[in-house]
Amino acid sequence: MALLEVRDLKMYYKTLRGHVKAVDSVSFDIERGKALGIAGESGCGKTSMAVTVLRLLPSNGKIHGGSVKLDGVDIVKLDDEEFRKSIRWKKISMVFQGAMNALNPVHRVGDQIVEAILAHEDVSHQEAVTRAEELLDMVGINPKRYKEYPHEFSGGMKQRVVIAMALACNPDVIIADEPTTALDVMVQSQVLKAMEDLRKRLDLSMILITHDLSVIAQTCDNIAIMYAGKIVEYGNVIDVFDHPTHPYGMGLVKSFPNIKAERTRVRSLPGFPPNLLAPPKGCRFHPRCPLAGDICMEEEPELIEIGSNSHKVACHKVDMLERGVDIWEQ
Amino acid sequence: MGAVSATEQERSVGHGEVILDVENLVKYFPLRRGIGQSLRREPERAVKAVDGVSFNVKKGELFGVVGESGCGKTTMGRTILRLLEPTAGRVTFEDIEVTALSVEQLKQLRTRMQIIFQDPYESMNPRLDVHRIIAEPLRIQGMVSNSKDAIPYIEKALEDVEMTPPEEYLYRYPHELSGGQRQRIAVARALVLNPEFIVADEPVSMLDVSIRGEILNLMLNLSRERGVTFLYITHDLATARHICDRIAVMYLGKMVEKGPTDSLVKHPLHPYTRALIGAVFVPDPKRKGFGKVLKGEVPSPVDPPSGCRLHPRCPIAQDICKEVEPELVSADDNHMVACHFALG
Amino acid sequence: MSKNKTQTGISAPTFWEQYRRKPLGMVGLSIVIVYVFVAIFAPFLTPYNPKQILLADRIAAPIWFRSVLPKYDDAPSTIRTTLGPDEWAVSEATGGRLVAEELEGAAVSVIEFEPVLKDEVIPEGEAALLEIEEYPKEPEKSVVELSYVVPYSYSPPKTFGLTFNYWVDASSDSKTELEFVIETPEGKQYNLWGKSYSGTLGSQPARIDSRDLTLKQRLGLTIFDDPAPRVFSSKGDYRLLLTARSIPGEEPTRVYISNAEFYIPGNVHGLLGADHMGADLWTQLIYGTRISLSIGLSAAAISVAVGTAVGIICGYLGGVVDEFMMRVVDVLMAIPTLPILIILGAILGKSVWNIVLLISAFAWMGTARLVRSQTLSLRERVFVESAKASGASDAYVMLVHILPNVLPLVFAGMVLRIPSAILTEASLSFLGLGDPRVATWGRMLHNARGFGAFTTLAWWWLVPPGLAITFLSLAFVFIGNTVNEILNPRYRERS
Repeated sequence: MALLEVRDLKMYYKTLRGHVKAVDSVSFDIERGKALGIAGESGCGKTSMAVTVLRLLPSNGKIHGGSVKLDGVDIVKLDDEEFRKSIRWKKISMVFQGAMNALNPVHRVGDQIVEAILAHEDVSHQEAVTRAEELLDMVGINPKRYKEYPHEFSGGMKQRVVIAMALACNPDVIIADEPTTALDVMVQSQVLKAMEDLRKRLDLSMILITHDLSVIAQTCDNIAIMYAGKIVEYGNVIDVFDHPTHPYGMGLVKSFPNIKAERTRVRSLPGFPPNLLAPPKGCRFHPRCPLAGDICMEEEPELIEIGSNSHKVACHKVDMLERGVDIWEQ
Repeated sequence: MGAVSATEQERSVGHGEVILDVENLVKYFPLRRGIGQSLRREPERAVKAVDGVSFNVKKGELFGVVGESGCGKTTMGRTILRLLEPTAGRVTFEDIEVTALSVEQLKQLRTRMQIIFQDPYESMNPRLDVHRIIAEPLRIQGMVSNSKDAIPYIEKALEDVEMTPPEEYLYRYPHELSGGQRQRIAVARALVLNPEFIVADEPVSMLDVSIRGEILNLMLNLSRERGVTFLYITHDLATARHICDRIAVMYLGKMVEKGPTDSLVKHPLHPYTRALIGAVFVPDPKRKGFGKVLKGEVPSPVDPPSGCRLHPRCPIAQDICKEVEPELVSADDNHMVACHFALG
Repeated sequence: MSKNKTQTGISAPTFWEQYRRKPLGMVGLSIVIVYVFVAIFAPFLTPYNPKQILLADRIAAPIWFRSVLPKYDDAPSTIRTTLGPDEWAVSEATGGRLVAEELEGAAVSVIEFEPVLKDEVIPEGEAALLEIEEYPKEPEKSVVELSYVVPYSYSPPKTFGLTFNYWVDASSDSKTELEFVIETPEGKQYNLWGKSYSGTLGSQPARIDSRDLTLKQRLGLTIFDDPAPRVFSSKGDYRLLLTARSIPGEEPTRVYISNAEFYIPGNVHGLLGADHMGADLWTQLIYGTRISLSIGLSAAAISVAVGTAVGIICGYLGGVVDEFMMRVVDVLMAIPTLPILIILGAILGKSVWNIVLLISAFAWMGTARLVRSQTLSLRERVFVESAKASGASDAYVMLVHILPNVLPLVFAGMVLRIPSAILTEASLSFLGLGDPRVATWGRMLHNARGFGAFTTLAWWWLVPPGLAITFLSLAFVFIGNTVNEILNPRYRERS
């Protein structure tokens, strides 16, 4: 059984002009020790999905159905107090986008980790300090720098501190939202390597949310591609990168520049994502899809398994695509 | 999109005349001394953002400048356009010495040299509509007297960036457009004066991956079909590699390597370039594995290391690297590198 | 999500759409609209003008007190009658008559006495004796008595008076006497005034006032007695009698009486009573709206304009200009405003414009600082650099890119500055440094303090201007906060 099973999760934001279906019937599994990458353009609902799993919703966001099973227990049904006490940070924790800039500049880095530990666990201050030093060591920072302030740390190190804080309570699942987006390539490489090592060592499951497909290719086992609040393609990274089958997934993968491959013209997907207040009827991708036919405008496609290895695609024209036609040939 | 195949991109470089020549460009930002420091007569310190950079760009070329944040690439772009006043050095555009121009002459030159900024959300005054955003350079330059006269120019610029029909966009506000559309408007604004040279400062880094191609291809088309010269400043070697004719790599205010794109990407000579290319992830799960990256972090540009600036992090550094600053020397045709050991 | 950081322009309809949802803002706006309406239509809302005095007794109470407070049950309201030739009735005329005459457009009552026929040669001898018998032994007094009936139905007044001008045109051998008497309903006569002259007399004013010492002496009263309650002690018809007696000369004697005005100042008057000069308080309050609004608006506009200009120039240009101006701001901010305003107000003289300029001169620094800090961040914005890259001059950038982006901030600040300007003006006027020629609320309070509203507990004099200031200030604060909330959500707490 998978460690985390998400089924038909729906989360809508209530706005003055109606519901924004930011997460609309999303399902996926994560095995223990595996990493799932969630890819998509800005506004596709990646971050909303993460905060829904952690139940850190803004006041206008509400779960409208579905289940999130952690070790077989549906944590959507837990009440808020219970969730806060036993799940958030303890079982599932999160590294927020830009969190490294949220470190308090007037407190010592180590003290901030200690505070995070004391907030969630019933341990003595001394134990917490010891644990904080261990965590710093774990993410590759010399524990002697415990007493330094955030401004004495570089961006990459601050990001590691944030990761260390997320690990403070020994969670089973860690959700990382764009953990390396603001970092330079070399630092990104260092941070991701540290995360990968940790994950292997602690047998952590990870959900990595990013728009950067190369990061997912590099660090994840599975990938889910989201478009307009829905998962449109899901599967093993090798399957998906080798044979992207959903028109959007294909466009995304093929438009990503690859420095090691032959030099080609950079591709792009014409158009832009729909407004989630009034998403298009049928398949949400149809206005941008070169294959769109009548059925795509009427019926919403199901996420169905193709081939083996649980590679799933939500597209009516999947037969055509399985033959490997490059529909974005420009 | 116009049809420009990958092979057409592979043009020989070294043809054509030099349009922009940068000689030993230096830009320091002095740090304010505290009163105590002033009294103790401590020497004035400065952020050495650009510290002696020389290169040239040929007409119609797409010249990429790649480097990590803080390497001085953005400052260099601004200084070339004299949006920042250079501390030293000379910039020559065709036969005009940009660094010696008066304010009035500079204003005239602005019609020939333009810039596209990184953040399409920030680079437009949110209180102006598309029509006024694009018309602004024309009005500043006195090329039109009222906004009505500007319409034909604006429509042409919008067509150039493939926003058709232009009427549909004229009276929209930036917040009503998508990121890609905004960046096209930014390009249109730069194009409306019909410049020969454009500094494109990270024009796609704020955009979603799926639409980066639109802007990059637009630049490529403008370069190939209209002969516009681009200085493409980016941290992203992968996109530079796809559109640039030549690439220069900067580290801590210095240019460490420059050369034709393929030569530089496939056979990097400088240890820094190698590490940079090694650190770039590939969207291909079969090529997993973290490349060797340099140890440590980029030092402060206030007190850059002596000698070769990379030496504290360099895997092949020797004593000479601490003492002697390497010059950019030719490795082969057009490919130059600043390293004591890259060639041996 | 990160897209929201760019603050977008807000169009007028959207602004109103948001504004009308805010109850406090709407309350504020309604109040201000009422004030503006009052200010514009002030002349139609009161029959008086603010410079008219002696409309009632000093510190008269509002007229509606009569129906509310038993103490004022039949307190007198003002009786003021102009007595011209048409008003006077001739109750006795011997050897003379009343003639109406028009002199310089004003109706003048002329009492004309026949001359004595002295030009006839007095016969001598027998004839003379005969003739003498036909003539009176003594020159006969001709009398003309003018009367006017004043119905009086109130409790006794505090004072009354009659004023007029008179002059006499007569030959030098004539004698003229004038006398003023009030006859009560009971028939008792009070002789209040009398004069006699020989021959021609130039124009003289007659000021008959119940508070005069001579009048009291004439009635045989001590200086502490008050004639008015004695004279008007009962309700009924009082007769005013102006009597002219003449021993005529060779020429006809003409007694001219012009601008006669009989006056019993009321203890109750108008909607809000009267001040120490008998001027109408309601009128002052209404006309005060004009002054307060225009001082508030113009001082706020001037100070904000100056502050914005200084802020933009300093913030954008920086350097020595900035350094210098900011030190000036520091110094001005460190000076306690009111004392310096008092001193400057005293030196520069009391006029509304001086006050506006003074208030503005000490109110622009806050705006300047706010605008400067906003400009510092705006000038680093990419769109400014983008304009410069197209060759824009500093002036262009400041006007086209910086100014419109600081205006929302400044606009809300301006609305919030209005009440403080109004209050400062009121303070200055209250301290007696206002323009004495115009009615302002501060001046009303100043007069109330200086002329006995506190000692007489005339709260109707104190409270209305106080409330007017409070409500107007409050209304502008409501509006300003609402505008701030809409235009500058980030600055809500700070302002």
